[in-house]
Amino acid sequence: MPFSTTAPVPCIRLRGLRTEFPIPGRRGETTRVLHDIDLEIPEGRLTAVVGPSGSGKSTLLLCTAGLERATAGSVEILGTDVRSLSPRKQAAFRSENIGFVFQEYNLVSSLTVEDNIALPARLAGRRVPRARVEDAMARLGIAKHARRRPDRLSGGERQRVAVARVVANQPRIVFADEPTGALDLKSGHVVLDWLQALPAQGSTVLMVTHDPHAAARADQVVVMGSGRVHAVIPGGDSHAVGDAVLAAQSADEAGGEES
Amino acid sequence: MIRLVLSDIRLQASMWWWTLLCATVGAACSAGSAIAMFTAVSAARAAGDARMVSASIALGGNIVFFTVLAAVGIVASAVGLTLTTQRREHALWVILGIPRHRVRSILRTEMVVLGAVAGALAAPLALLVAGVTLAQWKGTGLELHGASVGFRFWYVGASVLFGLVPCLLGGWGVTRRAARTPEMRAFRDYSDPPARPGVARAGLALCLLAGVVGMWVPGLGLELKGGLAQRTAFAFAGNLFLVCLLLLMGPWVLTPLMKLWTALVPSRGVAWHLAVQSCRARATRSVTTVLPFALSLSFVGLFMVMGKAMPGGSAGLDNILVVLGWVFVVSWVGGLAVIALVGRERARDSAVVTVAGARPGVVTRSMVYEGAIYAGTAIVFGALFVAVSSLTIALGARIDVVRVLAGLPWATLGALAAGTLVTTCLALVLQAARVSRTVAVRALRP
Ligand SMILES: Nc1ncnc2c1ncn2[C@@H]1O[C@H](COP(=O)(O)OP(=O)(O)OP(=O)(O)O)[C@@H](O)[C@H]1O
Ligand SMILES: [Mg+2]
Repeated sequence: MPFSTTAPVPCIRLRGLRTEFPIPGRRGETTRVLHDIDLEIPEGRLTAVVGPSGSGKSTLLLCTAGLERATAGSVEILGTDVRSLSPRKQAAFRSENIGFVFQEYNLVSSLTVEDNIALPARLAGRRVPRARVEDAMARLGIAKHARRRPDRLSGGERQRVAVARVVANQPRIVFADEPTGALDLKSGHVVLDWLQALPAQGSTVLMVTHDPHAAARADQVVVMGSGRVHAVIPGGDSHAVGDAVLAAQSADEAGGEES
Repeated sequence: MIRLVLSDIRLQASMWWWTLLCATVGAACSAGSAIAMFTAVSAARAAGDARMVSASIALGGNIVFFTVLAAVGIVASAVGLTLTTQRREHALWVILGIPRHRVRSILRTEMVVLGAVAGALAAPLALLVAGVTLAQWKGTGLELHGASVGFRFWYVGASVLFGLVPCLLGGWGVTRRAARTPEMRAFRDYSDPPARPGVARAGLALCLLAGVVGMWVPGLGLELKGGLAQRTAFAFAGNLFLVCLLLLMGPWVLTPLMKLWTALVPSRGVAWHLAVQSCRARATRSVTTVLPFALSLSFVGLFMVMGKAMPGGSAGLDNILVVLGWVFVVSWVGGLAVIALVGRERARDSAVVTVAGARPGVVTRSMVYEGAIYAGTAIVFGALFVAVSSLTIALGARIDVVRVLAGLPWATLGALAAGTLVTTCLALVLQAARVSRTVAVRALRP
């Protein structure tokens, strides 16, 4: 697939996004984790975010999704400035448009697999047709666990439930934070295959990962380094991604030594 | 290893505080009522008032019996829950290479220390309880010959004993299980209660069942020399055994009851759905939460029915408070402690629900519903038990069931039920407020 830097509609547009966290034990002092980030994520594509550990990838994802509070800047998703929405509207926006796959703790432990899959729609006040839930479970090979609770599933099975949830609910945007971090090679491939297939259904996927091969499957790769966007490169080549991460890391270290 | 234990206790400090509070209150109420009884009896002896001696023994014996029963049951189940919620950590100890028998003895030592500390803390409180109890008796018109509570050395011993016994009872089975379950199973945190009652529980249950039958046969079926009063007393005793039996078998009685009545509620709301699933998925926790409230409601019901059926009896709340006052205190503290104990478990599920896009009120509402389910289960249990005891006691006293039921102080019972509902819901609202103040995703970071 040819990569186009001039995607017509940005699905997510970040302007001057800055995030600071209070330093525990020192009142009033903060540490800046994201430094005024400007970024556009094209609609209907898989975008990967890579970078060294601690460079602010998860924070970027969570601030964009409205789950962590940014200090300054604007986050525009599908044309809506989500930071200006009230908490109620934000929640409604999330349940209507956004799906999540984290590395762990994706599922409500007291709900069965099928209830977990149907949860976002229920929260939005809709009902997912049963057939769609069953179809999603069948496609991810977890149909036989439909009535189990998450504590009875393996990590890979749990992760597939989380993916089945986005497959069944078809949110406009999917945020994934190291979705394959805890999985074996094969389960990891299953999850990645599905995330890669989601754009064909019309979803936009933003995925944080440490794995250059996973990132190479993306249409666009955002390379982060110490709270800044270091580079935005096209996907496809895992070596290029790996090199870019290493470059970001050494730039970090050089910057760290100067200051 | 001592370091490991200490750091474990420090990490779980809030949990241990609640358990300690629960055990302390239990010990204070049990020991206090026992002290009151001995003080009254010895004062009456000193004054040579034989009638008063037997009255003190009768009244005091009842109070001590019910209070100790409730305290032991409630504290034991709270302690059991504390240990059960920590089994992940205990499994980790085993994985780290501490032998299982060592883990077991560490846990038992913790129980002994907890019980002893609770008992020691309870000693001054027990004196207070005894003072209040004696004042209550005086209020009902008993002549106490100026009995007053002074300090005796054995009071401390009694208090420590009442602190230790429930902790050990509650901890014993759990520590044995904690040191026996396969590590990884505990580690994954399966929420299932044991499928079948253990040997000790089954044995005790059989004894109680024999008690029920043994009391009901003469109470309901035979002509007794003592006449109706004796029949009624037998029927009453049978009911007492019955309530103990039902609560002992709580996981197999309260859980189905909860499932049944919540299934009858025709709600499609997502908050209700979450609440019901949460109560069902964590059956052990739910039973422990319901237990104290179910116990106090059914005791009150039983006493009211009895007061109605006995000639000259009274079913007023103040009379019942004299006997069951400390049971209430223990139950309410125990119930609140249990709700607080399992708060941490709820936070993560709430976070996932919030992240998935729950409107701001949904998590709070589902927690309030959860409180309502606990209270509702206790109330349904209490109501069923009032029905059974009305029926059996009316049969024993040879009066019409309808008359017994019509004469019950329904307003008081209703107020008690409402109090239960408000208490559990409020406790969960406070927890929901705490959960909603934290950023949801932070609860999801390991
Ligand atoms: N709630 C918080 N309070 C204070 N500091 C935080 C908080 N969350 C993250 N940080 C800090 O922000 C920085 C970036 O964290 P973040 O989790 O975004 O990194 P990351 O790029 O996702 O790393 P990794 O690849 O290891 O997951 C880290 O230095 C971290 O210590
Ligand atoms: Mg991260």
